[in-house]
Amino acid sequence: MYNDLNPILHSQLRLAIISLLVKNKAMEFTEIRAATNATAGNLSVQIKKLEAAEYITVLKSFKNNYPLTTLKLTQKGLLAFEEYVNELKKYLEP
Amino acid sequence: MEKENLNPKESLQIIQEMIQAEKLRFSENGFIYRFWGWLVSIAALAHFILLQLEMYDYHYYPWFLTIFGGIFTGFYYGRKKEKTSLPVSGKILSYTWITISFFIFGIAFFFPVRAGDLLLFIILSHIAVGTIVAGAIFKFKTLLIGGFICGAMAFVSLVVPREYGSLITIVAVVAADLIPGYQMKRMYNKENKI
Repeated sequence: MYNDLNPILHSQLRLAIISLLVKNKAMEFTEIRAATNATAGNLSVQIKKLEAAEYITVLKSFKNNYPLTTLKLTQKGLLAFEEYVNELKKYLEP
Repeated sequence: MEKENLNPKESLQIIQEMIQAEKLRFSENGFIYRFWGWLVSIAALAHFILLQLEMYDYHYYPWFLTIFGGIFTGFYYGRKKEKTSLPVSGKILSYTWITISFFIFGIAFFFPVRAGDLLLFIILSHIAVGTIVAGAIFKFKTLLIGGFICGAMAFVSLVVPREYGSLITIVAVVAADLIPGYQMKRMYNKENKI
């Protein structure tokens, strides 16, 4: 049986962000931007959506007097990603 | 390096393995680190006090506590294992600690005289390896630093008088077990909103 894929994760950029955070414990905004090739504006919007869903935490601090945004995956985000991958697997293995 | 082409099924398998590894990290509340940290600290302190009291016939008795610690750890993980299947990283960590325990208990309880002045070095260097591997798997810097401090204490044990070995052991387990253990607990409680 095919279930609907999680709409929060079923977006290329948001899925890429979560995938990167599963692989790396914490990542800076600039690192994610470089890895995804997204614009800063689009990335900020998608990060806010993931944060609102409590899939990630966003920590704002300073590094050498420059603002530093660090992203971390939450347990809720990890479980949502796991469910997404399991559902996707069903589509690939009918 | 040749780039490996994976089919979607293989890719998903790798992703699922990564997810399981992350779940292992999220499930770690640091209890076993705190447990061993306190157990070894108490045994080492008792050992030190008995030596200061010149009770040379019994000074090593507190270390028998670690046998109960080993049995308890076996039950603790045996019970946990029933609930979750371990990812590859978890299995690596599990086998690493089982092997380390085997060598530590073997040398400490069966060949302490043969090991002589190197006994503490052997024990602490093994603990350092396990702690560093755990730190790398959990991507936890405090544990990594603790492992390196424990390794450094192994070398320190070679140059200080033997009666201070217990104090060196306490420094090593505070860095490698107690501090990371309490930090893990704090992070776990925060994540699970306890």
